[in-house]
Amino acid sequence: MSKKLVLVMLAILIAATLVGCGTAKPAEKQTVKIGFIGPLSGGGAAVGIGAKNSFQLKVDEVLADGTYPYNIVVVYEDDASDPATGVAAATKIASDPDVVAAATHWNSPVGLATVDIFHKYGVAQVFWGTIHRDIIYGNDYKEPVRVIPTSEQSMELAAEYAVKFDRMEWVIINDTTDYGTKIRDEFTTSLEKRGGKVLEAIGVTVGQQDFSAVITRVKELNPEGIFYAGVTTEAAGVRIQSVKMGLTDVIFMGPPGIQSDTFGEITQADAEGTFVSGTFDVNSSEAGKAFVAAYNAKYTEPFEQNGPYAYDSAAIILEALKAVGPDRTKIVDYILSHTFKGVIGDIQWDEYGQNGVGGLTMYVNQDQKWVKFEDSEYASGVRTFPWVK
Amino acid sequence: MSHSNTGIPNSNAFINRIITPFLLFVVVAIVYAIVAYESVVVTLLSLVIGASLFVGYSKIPGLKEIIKESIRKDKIILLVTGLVLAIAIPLTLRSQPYIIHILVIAEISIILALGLNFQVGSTGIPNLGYAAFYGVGAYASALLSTRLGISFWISLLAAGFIAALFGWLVGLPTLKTRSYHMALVSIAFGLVTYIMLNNLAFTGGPNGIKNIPAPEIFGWSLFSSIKIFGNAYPVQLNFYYLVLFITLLMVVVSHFVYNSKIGLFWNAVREDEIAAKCSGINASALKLLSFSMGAFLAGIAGALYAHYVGYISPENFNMNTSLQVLGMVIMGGMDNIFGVSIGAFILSVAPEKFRALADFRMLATGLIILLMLMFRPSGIIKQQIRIYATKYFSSKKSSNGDTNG
Amino acid sequence: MNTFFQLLISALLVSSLYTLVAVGFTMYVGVINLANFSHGDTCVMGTFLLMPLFLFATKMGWMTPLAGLVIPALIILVILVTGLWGAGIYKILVKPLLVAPRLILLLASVAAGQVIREAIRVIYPNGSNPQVFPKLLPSGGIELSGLTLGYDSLTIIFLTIACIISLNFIIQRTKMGLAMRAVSQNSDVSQIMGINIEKTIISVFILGSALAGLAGILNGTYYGIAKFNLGSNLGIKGFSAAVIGGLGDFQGAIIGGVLLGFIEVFASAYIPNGSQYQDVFSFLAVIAFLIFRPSGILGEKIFEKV
Repeated sequence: MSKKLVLVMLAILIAATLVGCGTAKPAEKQTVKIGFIGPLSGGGAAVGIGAKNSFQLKVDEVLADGTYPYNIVVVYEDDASDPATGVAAATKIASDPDVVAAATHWNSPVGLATVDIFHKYGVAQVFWGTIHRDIIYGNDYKEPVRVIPTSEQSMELAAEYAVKFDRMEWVIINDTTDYGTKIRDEFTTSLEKRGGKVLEAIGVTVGQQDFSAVITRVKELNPEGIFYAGVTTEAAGVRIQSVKMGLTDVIFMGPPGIQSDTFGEITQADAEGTFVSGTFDVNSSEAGKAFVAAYNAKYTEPFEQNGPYAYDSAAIILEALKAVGPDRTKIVDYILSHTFKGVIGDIQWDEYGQNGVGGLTMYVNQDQKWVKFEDSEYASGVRTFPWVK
Repeated sequence: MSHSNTGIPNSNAFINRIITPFLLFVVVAIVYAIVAYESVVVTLLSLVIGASLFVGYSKIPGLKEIIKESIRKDKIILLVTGLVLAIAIPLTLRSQPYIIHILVIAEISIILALGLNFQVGSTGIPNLGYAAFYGVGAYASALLSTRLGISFWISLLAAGFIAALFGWLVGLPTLKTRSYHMALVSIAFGLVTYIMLNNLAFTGGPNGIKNIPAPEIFGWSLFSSIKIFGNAYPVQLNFYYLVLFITLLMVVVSHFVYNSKIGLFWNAVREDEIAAKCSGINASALKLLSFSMGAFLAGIAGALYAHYVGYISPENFNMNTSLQVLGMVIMGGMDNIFGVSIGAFILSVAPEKFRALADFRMLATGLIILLMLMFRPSGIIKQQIRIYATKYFSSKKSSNGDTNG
Repeated sequence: MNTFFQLLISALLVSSLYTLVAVGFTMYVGVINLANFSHGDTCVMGTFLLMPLFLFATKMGWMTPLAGLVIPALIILVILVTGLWGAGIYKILVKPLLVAPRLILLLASVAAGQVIREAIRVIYPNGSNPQVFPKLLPSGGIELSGLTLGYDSLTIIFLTIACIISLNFIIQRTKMGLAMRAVSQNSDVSQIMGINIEKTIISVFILGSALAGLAGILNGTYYGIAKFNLGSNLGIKGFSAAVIGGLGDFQGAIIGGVLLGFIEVFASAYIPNGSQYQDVFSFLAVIAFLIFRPSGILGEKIFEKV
């Protein structure tokens, strides 16, 4: 029996080793892999696919004339907005020796979970979608950089507009996700810095439908403005029910999370005159307009809010690769020490790797669409705000 | 040890000699091909080969009996070889840390599924909020080590016991209520835990807990990679062996519990609680024990996950996770430790292999549970009929007993 | 005082929706002792069936001249379809598993709910994201000294009361209702007395699922949003309401639904920072009931039969 045992084990070990050796393939000189991770399935899929297409668009454009010194293979992985799935995807990409850099994530918990993995493997990680502060500032890693501006910058803009309209007493309704609580804290800071006041912050849960208790409380507080810190579905619910309960003379504002046309579709007439402190207006520059034209010529799905950032992420990675070659460490150093020209403007990092520009824009809802405030009929005086009494 | 006195005819002697090693080869080769190769074609091909072998196994007359007999006889060879393979194979995956990562998650899933199996499988109490215990364990261990600097080994055990305490508390309503009440209590507990993890300040709220330290063995952190003959091995490998050790420990413990009086009494409570009570079984204590032990395993799994990934957030422990684990138990075979482990392995590896179909993951889990319950409620591997004869009768009699239920 | 009345109307509205779901739950438990965990997802089927039908009707131009006729017709059509769906669930899923241990049936209904939910998400275009649900009920409302009474809230509350009354009539006054009550009491004896058990159970499933479909539609039109996973919440709340009232008891389900709605709305309004713990309150209430009065408010004490 012992003889059989030894034989069996030996044979299996040999077989396993042979199979194992077979998988180690020699790297081709001219082909370099770059990674992209985002939510390609689940609730965030629309944003993820828009970003993915934009990323691929830039890669195709750069490779089009054939002068780029490397063949590029983009490895797309899905994080499904789920940290556990994201960790697996990040491990897969970062541990592949052929991958030199990656553009990653829309959801902050996923980003928080994977930033250590990319650091461990020394792979440059360009964030195109997550806004959580700690991803960049919560560590001293060189690998992560972020193209999309932080929510802090976005909330500064929101507070500026609060001052501009002379609405200084606000109630914040926030959902209890990382996004909602972060936005709540940042808007509070920005507003109080300017002398405004947050009367109360009321938490709600994602998936909650009935906000009557919350709105009753808001009515008692009698604020000048309601800031909804969260995403579209609940924001629309809060807006509809607050109008229904007679709260029509307060200004309503939200973060980039509600900057989706679905908001107007759900709230219909109630959306009129609401604000969103939103993301970059891509049509404000020639490069941006060119991006929109090229994108729409190639894809049918919208590029959503994050397309331009993903597009610029690809530009950054490809430029660094071209300059220093497929060397992970050199690419990390190159990215952090250079300024890049993108469709969102000149991308400049602070000492941690956070991009300072990104063209934040205030939008107002006009006929159920988000319109850049400066271009709206409200700014030109054609219409007056429904909340002005 | 000689096998000459078994009931297998002489003409089959040769087949009998090679069948066990051959079987093991085929299974290992298929699993290896599925797990280690990136290509969907290889995965599908291996699945087709595997499925046709399984069909052949049940269709070719006599083969089933030969294989069963052979497995039973060569149990020790199989176990030792399996162990050697479990230790040796990951060494061949040096350049693919991602594959080792999948294997680590599969090991953690096995611990999870074993725990739920105590509750749903052995005792027959529905638990639809099992992920909450997993979360309680993960958070307990993560908080103990990040806030208080307690060593991994202590926080691992603490996580198990804290989760077990929660299990005991949640189990209390089972004493008075019926099975569908318990389903509701467990869902409610799962959702309340999820909401609390999100809202409480000390759990880090929705941002979860970052920078959970890696376990240390005599001052050596598992986050540092081993070098053998100048080759650096990925850090995932360290965790693979650590979790492998704990998983094996849990499998062995579960095996002994299952085969002890406790396991038998659990089954008695599941089949007919009142009859069990009438036979002098303390059904209340046993139900609470089942809930605490299941939760203990979940707590251990949670702690391992937290220290392996280094970051946890409430999202890891929602209703979907509960249903996923339930799927593992039902697919593998309720109340069968080997079957449940296989179910856990399959359902944790499959989503990674079919990443392109991620949108259908939860649909597939639901369909698997539904179809399994309707057409093969016993799972891939049935619960074995308990045989106590070996203890009391001669070895010859026991070798003729059919161990399949 | 105004605040209180405003909350009262909201609580009544939430209660109505929970009651419609709870009634189905409790009837299933009554006739075949099954907690059907796919019930909440049946509601969402109603929601997601109505949307494409409404879009189609709008596209065909039926809405402008005949909205007052077309909308009720669509609602009735959807309710019929969900009712048939309930019969289908019984035939395909429940009946074959009636002989198996109850645990298997319970887990199967959980899985069926998951399958319905995920199938809606995958099949419906862009189904992962919230959908805009059409406004079926008249907008606007009555202003009463600072108090806003929306026509839609009033319609929903009124519709629910009408449904409950007619259901009560069916159960108390018709032959079918008699059969249902008999089967709930003792199905074996009812069979001996010549009651067609199968037919009775199927009619219970049709009634329960139809009400669930109505609840799904009303929920969608009041909040204006439909999402594939709303059913799990509605289902769990409906089941909780049924448990609080006493499982298997028709009137209990109504009392439970009302109580749960009031707990939710008033607890989140009057407990500081209560809104984010809204679900916690209702679940704590259910767990408390299960520990201290597992048979619910109206339910009789449970005696296990040997």
